Amino acid sequence: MFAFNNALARMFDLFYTPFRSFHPVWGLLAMSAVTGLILLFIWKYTTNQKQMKAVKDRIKMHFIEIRLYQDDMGIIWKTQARILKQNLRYIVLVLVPALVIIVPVVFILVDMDHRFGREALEPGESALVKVKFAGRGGLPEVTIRAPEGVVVETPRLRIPVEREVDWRIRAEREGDFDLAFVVDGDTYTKRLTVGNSTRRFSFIKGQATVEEAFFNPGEDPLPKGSLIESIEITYPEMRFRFESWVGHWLTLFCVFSLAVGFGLKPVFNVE
Amino acid sequence: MRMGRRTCWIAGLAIFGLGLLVLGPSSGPASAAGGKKVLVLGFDGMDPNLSKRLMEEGKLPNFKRLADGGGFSKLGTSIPPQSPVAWSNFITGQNPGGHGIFDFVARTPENYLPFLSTSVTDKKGTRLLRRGTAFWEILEDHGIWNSVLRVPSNYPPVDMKGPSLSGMGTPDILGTYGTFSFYTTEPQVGGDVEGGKIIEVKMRNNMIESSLVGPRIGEGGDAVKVEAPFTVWVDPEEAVAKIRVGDEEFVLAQGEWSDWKPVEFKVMSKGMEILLSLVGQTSSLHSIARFYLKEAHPEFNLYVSPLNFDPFYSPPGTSICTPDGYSKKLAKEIGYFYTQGMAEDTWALNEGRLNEKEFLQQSEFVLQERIRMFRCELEHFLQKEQALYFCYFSTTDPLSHMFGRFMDPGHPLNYPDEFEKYGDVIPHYYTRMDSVLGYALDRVGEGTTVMVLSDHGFTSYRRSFHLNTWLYENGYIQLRDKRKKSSGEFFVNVDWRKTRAYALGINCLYLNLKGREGYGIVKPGYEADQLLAELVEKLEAITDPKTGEQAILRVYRSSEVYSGDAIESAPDLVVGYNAGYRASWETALGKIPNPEKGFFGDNLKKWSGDHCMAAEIIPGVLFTNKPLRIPDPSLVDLAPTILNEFGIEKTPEMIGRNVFAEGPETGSRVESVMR
Repeated sequence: MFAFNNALARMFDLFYTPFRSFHPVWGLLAMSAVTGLILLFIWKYTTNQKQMKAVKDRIKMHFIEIRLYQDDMGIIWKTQARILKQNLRYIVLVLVPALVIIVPVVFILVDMDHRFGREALEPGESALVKVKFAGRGGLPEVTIRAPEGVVVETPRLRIPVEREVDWRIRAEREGDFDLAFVVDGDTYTKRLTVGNSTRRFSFIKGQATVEEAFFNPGEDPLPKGSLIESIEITYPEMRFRFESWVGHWLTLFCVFSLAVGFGLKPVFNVE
Repeated sequence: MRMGRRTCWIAGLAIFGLGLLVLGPSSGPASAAGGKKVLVLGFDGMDPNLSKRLMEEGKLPNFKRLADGGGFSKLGTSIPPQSPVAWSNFITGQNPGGHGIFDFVARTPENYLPFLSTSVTDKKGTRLLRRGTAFWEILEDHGIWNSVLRVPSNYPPVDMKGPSLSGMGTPDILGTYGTFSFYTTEPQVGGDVEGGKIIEVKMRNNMIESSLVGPRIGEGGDAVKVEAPFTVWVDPEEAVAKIRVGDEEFVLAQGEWSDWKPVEFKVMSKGMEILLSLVGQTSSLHSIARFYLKEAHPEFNLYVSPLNFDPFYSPPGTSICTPDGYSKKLAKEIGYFYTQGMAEDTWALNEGRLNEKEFLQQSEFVLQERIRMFRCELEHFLQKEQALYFCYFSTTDPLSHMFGRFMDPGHPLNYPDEFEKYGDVIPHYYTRMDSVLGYALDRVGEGTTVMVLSDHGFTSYRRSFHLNTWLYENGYIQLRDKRKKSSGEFFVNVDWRKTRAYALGINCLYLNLKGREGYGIVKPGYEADQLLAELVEKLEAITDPKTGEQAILRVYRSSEVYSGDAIESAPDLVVGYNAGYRASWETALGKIPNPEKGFFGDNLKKWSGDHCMAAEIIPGVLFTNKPLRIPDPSLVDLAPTILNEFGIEKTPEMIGRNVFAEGPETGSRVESVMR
């Protein structure tokens, strides 16, 4: 799974390479457009286009029927029932393609969240580092070691009820840095990304599980069974602003990919 | 068909010409030729005597440069010399009789209740109460680009096309002039303090859960107070804590300030909020706050700044900027900034919730933000051919208020050890203003007219005078319950049917005039005139039994010092205190302390410098890079002067003169009594 994720990450990296020196919104819009196009083709080749056209035509026909016989309540009720039936047929027809579409979309979304969900720290910017411990009982002793270019600004903050230890760190220059955490003689690391670019980076690092590999790609996981359950860096959330609108990348993705998909439907003759 | 070589040239030239037209003059470099540019810097409370001394000591080289190459003078201030009044004189070129701002506090004559004088909020929203036309409105009518940042007495800002941001008078989201919150595990007696909410909290398992208190939403009995919950985790041993408010989590070590943190007060359900956010709308109240972890152990003490409007969102029912969205644009460029009027938290220092060092740290944030703001907008100004740019700096005023005692060895609240530690604070901030000026002078070049002004000067505030107690003891105020011999705020125990005069605000004294006040008993005309004459005579004769000094230097009759359409709401008398004296805080809010304690009291608050005295003793400063042609410039002269720089005539309401032109005095200049 990790190898697959790494290969996928490289593929996405390649896609975003031309956009690295621009504002992240351009990479986001480009990926949304490509996704819209891919979904359109998947839709075209995984659905029974003839049957779908037939179902949609029938629904249209029933609407005409309602307009023509609007004074006859009996016909209207029957027509409503037929429309419902055709709608259910339509849902059955799109069920399989929808399941097929989900697979690439989930991979794309997970990757996008690691590029557009958070912003890498800017030099001079601070962030919270959270170490969560597995198991129960007292908190193990933990120390943080920051490489040159990163400053640990506060003493450790222990929250026994949450099994958590926090620090505030500050990045002094651009680059990728490995923060080290020493617990009972074992050292664990977490990558810190500093610098503005459309790069995929990991916010949280957990123990090696399939779920972890899928949802938190980009960094080797912590060994299974280790004292530390996860290490998280709270990068600032990336917000996109257009005039008075401020929003999450997912809103932009949905709007733009759907717009591209619907806009190109007639061009590629897709139902 | 191929175009000929000649046709290509003609087409090329046409496109080039069109390009020049489209790009227009605004894209070119700053130039004095063909257009006039004026830069005005306002340094609140900068004192001429201290400025002169520091210039002589070589500590203000840029002010010296300006004074030597142009002009430096004391600047006649307003009557009374209070910031909202004085800056309104500057803005309108009129005295308070014209612009209608007479004190920080005004009163409703019908019920004697006070309200903040510069703006009012009702069902229709928030309105600016200052009357008269701001000089930059006139400039805009003449097509001159202008930017006016943080000028006092301009909230909500007058509707303009040019960028402007409201200043002093802009409230926090509670609608106050700035209410801090202080969360503490120490048992509290007495509850809230002046300018702050004190909230006692309990720590369980090293965790504290509490809420930031927002405004009341709704009307009457249906109004509910909105809150933003937050959680604090404190390390069991180390002096460090984590705070979670909304989606924000941050760690502070003891003695550390947070950056600005957005604080959202939710009014609707989360689902509705998500739906609204899809169309770029919000129902929530958006504010920002700074947190300061004063102490983690053994007691927990957390200071939270007043909740400022979030500049990324338009505040409901009001505005802090023009054009709409300018505050957001500015915040994108310089980051979050204080939007409340006077941002330096003088109350927190006065009430001992911040100490001097912490207050200076907080003031530094304000100054740094203002410098960033100033520099950002200066770049836009430099790109213009013909423009006015005004930027206001507050720092010198609150610092002079709070550290005045360290400039005055005779102040009653002066500790020798602190004297050495903080004696240089005020001069230090004058040198910081000098750096701001130096940067501006270097950037604007010679073609721009530069003016630097302050609204008033400063002096020590040693003794407080309970004017309402004096009025009571002298029979001008009668109490309903005479056994009490005192009254709480807002004259709660005053018998208005027997009271002839009362004081409200820092310098204002009103007659209880028949036909004007709700329960007025003094007949207008002869009776009122006699009473005014009697009060003036008695007040000017008051001496302080402790020092033997005259406490009130001059009492001004409003009919003699004011002119204009707003004079009907003026106080009848304006009390001009002598240096070292001022009306007590109790007087300002209509309180009558028991006369057994005397009319005077030592000022033992850290608010130890002041300017609410006789206007003659507290002038401001005026520095210009052009020679001053009149010997006694005043605040009301500056609006006509600025208009004149652009070749625009002053309006008939303006009473001032052009300070750069010699010639006979024109118009009615009631303010000349000031000089």
